[in-house]
Parts: sequence; structure tokens; C-alpha cells
Amino acid sequence: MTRRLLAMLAALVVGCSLAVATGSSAAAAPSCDTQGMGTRAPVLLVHGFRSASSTWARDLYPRHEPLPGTVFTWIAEPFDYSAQATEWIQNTKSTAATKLAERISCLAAASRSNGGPGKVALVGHSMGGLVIRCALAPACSHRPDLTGVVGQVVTIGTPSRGSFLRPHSAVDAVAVAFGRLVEAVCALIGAGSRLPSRVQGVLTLAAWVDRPLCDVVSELATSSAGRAFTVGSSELDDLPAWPSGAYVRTIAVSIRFVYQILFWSPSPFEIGDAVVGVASALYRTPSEPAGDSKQISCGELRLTRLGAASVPTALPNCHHVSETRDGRIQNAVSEVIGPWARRTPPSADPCSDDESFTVVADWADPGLNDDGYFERYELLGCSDGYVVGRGLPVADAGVDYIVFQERSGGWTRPQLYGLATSCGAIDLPDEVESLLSCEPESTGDYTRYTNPRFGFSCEVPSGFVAGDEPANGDGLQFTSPSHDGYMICSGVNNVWQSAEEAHAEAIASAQADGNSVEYEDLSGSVSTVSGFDEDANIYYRRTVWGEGSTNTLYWLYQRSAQAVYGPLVEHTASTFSPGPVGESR
Amino acid sequence: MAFVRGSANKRLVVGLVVLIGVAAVAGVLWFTVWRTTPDGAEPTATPTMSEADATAIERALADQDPERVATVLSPEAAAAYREEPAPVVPTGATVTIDRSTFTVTDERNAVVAASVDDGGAVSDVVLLLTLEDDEWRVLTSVTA
Repeated sequence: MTRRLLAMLAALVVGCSLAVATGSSAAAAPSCDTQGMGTRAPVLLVHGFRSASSTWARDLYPRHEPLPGTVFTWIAEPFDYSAQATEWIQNTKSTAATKLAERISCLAAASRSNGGPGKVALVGHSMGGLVIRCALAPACSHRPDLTGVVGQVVTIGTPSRGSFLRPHSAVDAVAVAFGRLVEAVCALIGAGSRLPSRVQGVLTLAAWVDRPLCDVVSELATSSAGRAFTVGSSELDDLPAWPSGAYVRTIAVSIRFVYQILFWSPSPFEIGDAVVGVASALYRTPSEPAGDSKQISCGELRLTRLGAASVPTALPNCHHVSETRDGRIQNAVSEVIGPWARRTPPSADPCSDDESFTVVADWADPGLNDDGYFERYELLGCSDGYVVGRGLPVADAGVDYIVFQERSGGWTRPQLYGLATSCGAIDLPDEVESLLSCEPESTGDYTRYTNPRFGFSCEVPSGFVAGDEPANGDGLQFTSPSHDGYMICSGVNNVWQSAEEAHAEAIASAQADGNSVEYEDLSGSVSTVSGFDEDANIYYRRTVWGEGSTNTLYWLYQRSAQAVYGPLVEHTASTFSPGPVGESR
Repeated sequence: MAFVRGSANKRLVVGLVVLIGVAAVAGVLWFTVWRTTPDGAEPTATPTMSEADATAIERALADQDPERVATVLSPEAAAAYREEPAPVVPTGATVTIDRSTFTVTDERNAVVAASVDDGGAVSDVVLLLTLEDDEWRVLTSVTA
């Protein structure tokens, strides 16, 4: 009995020792839990300044339901460094970039061994974009080079050139005033119940500034990361650039602020997302790798104004702090991440087809934001490295895009950087250039004019003479040889919030000029208005609206020449290609 | 009986001692902790808006000369204002500040109700004020 007791005690002691030893070794080993990932493409969500992984709205991230006919889709994983989220990335106290680099390596290796893409996509909000930049640079993260294991990168409201709420003499005066106003409204929130009834109405101001935004503003002034966000800071200058080979989409929110003092109100001022300006969020150095930018308009922030309706316009839901909860921004993220993560089976190699191919992934043009535009392509050429195609026109949009995809392992991977409106519009790899016939395009009696600034193109009847190139490069006028008519192809950065608004403006503008409106139609983003001007000439205006720009084909000709010009208008309208209207130029 | 009376006296004495003790502790606290601000400094007076301050703002805002208007704006507001200077009220309008509504929201900010009378209509507004060199300046306004 005594022996048995002794044996049990000994076993207990040994067991406890083993348990302690096991626990110790588990804590020392690097954690690389990838449970549930399988073959799905891993996407790391990196939160921002004074935030945490919980910032990513669960109903928007992740989306990992596979699409019909595809393999791989994405699974999002929030990366949390909240304990150091006010610490500047390159300070010795911060290990955020190092740990992120380790997590990227871990997920990429697991994905590769699971038969997934073997790469990781990264989405960074606010300072999270800078943490990603640091993680991808060995000199900054103190970890091995991650080139080759990073897929797409998306940054949202990342202060690459600082925040205008950090005062700097070079910053615009209205921006500084706005920053001061935010501080004052934050003070109001704290004083709410102490305000006399006659001034309680001022609390409506607090509707567009919430406590999380106030906390951010407060910590911008006191934390090491906040100080680094001063425009022109050495910390920002010292941060490594994006590595070559990464595809980076930068997303910025654009709010227009209407400042006022009693009856005085200056022109609306761009305040970015109320913390980070558009230019800072979209900033790229000339040497940085392929990528694109997306600007999301969030309307106007107008305080109540004397003599106008006393309804304050709330700051839209996409101000800096709430960007991770906004569906429009999530869509802009998905436009990049989704196609990268979705793959069709290897049998979809377009080079085995003879005339056209189905796009390998259903990725959308970042500008046009319409999945349907790029479903099929006319095959232009194949090589060992690339397949090159031209987007087939869809409906009235007249899309005529060149796309190329990298061929890999018998099937293709779509490359968003391979998007162009015409030869020469962007830098294409030499191998792709050689597959294209980059001669000026001509379709019989027409020559195609492509505007280098806005990317739209239109077919010009032969014999029409181009006018002088305007200084701002927004388009050209072409006059007929008989001088009884002309056409204009032009673009303008957007001032309208929607196609409906642009269409209404086109009608109102025509009527204000004394023109009649005999026909008007709005189909999707395509507005058509035509009628007679005061001299009974016929005008025709086709406008394609986008979030970034609005491009227009305009005709004016003598009524007596309708038989001549009618077919020309019809042809040029049907072949008018609006270009990437999703972006301002 | 003597035992009972003695107990009552003891309770009375103990009660008085406790009361005196509590009063002494409260007194010490008043003079050392409660009377001063958290950082140990003597409490400062809450900023107020004098009649002269209010009058200066009223007159400057009603002035049709933007340079005069700018003198009562906060430096940030004045810088923005000078980019597109113009009168802030119609010609002939008067501005009246209701000092009784003046409320400090933190050490640097305050609000106060005001009205603008342009001869035809009176508009109630709230001015957001900011303290600059011990003077209240206007940062913005909002309809009340």
C-alpha cells in the first residue's frame, strides 16, 4: 500500500514536470496557427493608429464564399498590434512590423503547403498601411525579405505624407482651421449636459464628430506615432518605399468641407477623410511599383448656415475612424483582393482558344467598377509569359481596353497593372508591347483619337481637322471640312455626385443656354441629351459619368446637313470609349 | 445603575472625539488637497466673457471691413477667412451676444448664444469661441 502510494506520488511529480516542460516549449515555439485556411488565399487586415483588430466590420470582412467555377477564395485575418498602436513603427518599443512580417511568412508557407496561392494579400487602414510597408522591408522589419510571398496590397486612408490635423506651416489655412474646429467640437461633446438650453442646438455639430475621432485627435498630439504624422516629418521620410513587385492600391476618402462664420462661407475645401488628406492617402513615389488609386467621394460636410435650411449635414459614415466599416470602401478593397484570390481551374488558358477568351477572374476595372465590363476579351497574342487581349465593347460603354495576364503553370493569373486604354497609355512590359500592334488605330473612314489625360477615345471622321490642344489637355475639337459642323471629345474631373446629377445638369445647362431638349435618356452612367440650339442647329451630347471623371462626346451641326451628320453621330456615339472614369485625372 | 450611567458618558466622550477627529481630517484635506487642483496648483478662475469682450466681438462681426472682422477671429479662422475675405453679415445688420449663455467647454474653448438682426429678420446663432492670449476669439458659428 505504501509502495503504491509512493509510486503514485512519483508519477504525479513526473507528470507535473512534463506538463510544465511541455508548456514552456510551446510558449517558446513561434506560433503559426492557420486553422481553417485550407487553400483559401490569406488576407491580413492591419488596423491603424489607436485602433485594434475589432475595427474591421465582421459583416464586411471576410468574404470567403467561393464563386461558381472558381477555386481559391479569400479568408481574412485581422492582425492586432493594439498595445503598440500609438507607438511609431520604427521606435524600438514597437514590434508591430516584425510580428506582421512573421505572420506573413507563416501564412504564406502554410498556404503553399496546403495547395493555395502561397502568397498573402495585405490590407492596411491608416497607420496599418505604414506598418505593412515597414514589414515588407527587411531593413525596417529586421526579418527576411518577403518578396515573392506578397500578393496584392491595399491601403485605406494611410497618412503616407502625414495628417493635416498635425499643424504645419505648409498646410492650407482652411485645413488648419478645420483641425481646430474638430478640437472645439470634441470639447463640446464633453460639456454637453452643462450647456444652457439656448445653445443646446450647437450639439448638432457633435453629430459629425464622435468620441473615437476625438480620441484620435487627442493622441495625435501626444503619442510618438501621432508626432510622426506631422506633414513633412523625418519619420515618414525615413520609412522604406514599397518593394518592387508588389501591386499596391491606395484608397482615399474625399469629403468637402464648407466652412462658415455667420453669413460668410468660402469655397468648399477638400479635407480628405477628416484626418488624412487625399494627396497623403494616395501618395506614391515615382519609383514605387505597379498599382492604382481609388478616391471615394463622401459628399459635403456643411455646418448649418444662416439663411439656409438649418439641418446640419452629418459627416458621412466614411470618416477616418469608420472607414473599416464602410461598404463602399470594402468594395474597393474587394475589387483588388477578390480577383487575386479567385482562380479558375487550369483548363481556362485562353491561348488554347482561337478568337476570344473568358477572363480568368471576374475582376472589375478599378475605374468603371462594373464586373460585367470585363467578362470576355478578344485575344491579341500569346507568348510563354503573357496572354494579351482587348476587352470587348459592352453595351453603350464602348469599352476598348487592353488587358494582359501573366501565364503561370499552364493557366493565367490576372494582373491588374496590365490595364490600359490604348497602346502607349501606360508602360507595358516589353514582351506585352511586342504582342500588340501599336500603330495608330483606324477603322476605315475614321481615325481614333485617344486623350492621354483622361484616357477616353473617340473615332473622328476622316477629313475632320483637330483644333488647338488646350493647355489642360482635357480634349479636342474636330471641325468638318465643310465647316458646317464639329465634334468635341472632352473630359472633366467630376463635380457631380451621381449619373443622375450629371444628367440633370446636362439638361439644365442646355436649357439655360437657350437650347431645346428634344431627347434625353439616362442608361446607367450614360447620359444622352439632344435638341436644337437658338439658331436651330442640332446638338447632341453623350456623357459617361464616373466617380472620378465625366467624359463627353459632343456634336453641333446645321439642321440642313442632318442626312450627312446623322450617321456620323450614330457611329461616333456607338464607338465612344469613356476611359477609366472611376478616377480623377 | 452607576454602571449604566458610566457607559452613557463613555459613549458621549467617544462620539465627541470621533467628531473632532473627522472635522480635523476634513480641515487638513481642504487646505492640502481639495482646495487645489490635481497638479497641486492653486485653482485658477474660470474664464469669463466680459461685457467689453462681447461688445468688441459684436462690433467687429457687424463691420463691413474684413480686416476689422479678422481681428476677432481665432488665428486659424482668420487665416482661412483672409483667403476669401468678405463681410460676415449683411450691411446694416447688428450682432448681439447673450453673455448669460456663455459656457466654457474646456480650458481653451467656449460657446455663447448670439443673434443677428438684419432689420428684417433675426437669426439665432451660437458662436464657438477659442481663447487666444486671454481673449475670446470666434472660431465658427452655427444656427441655434
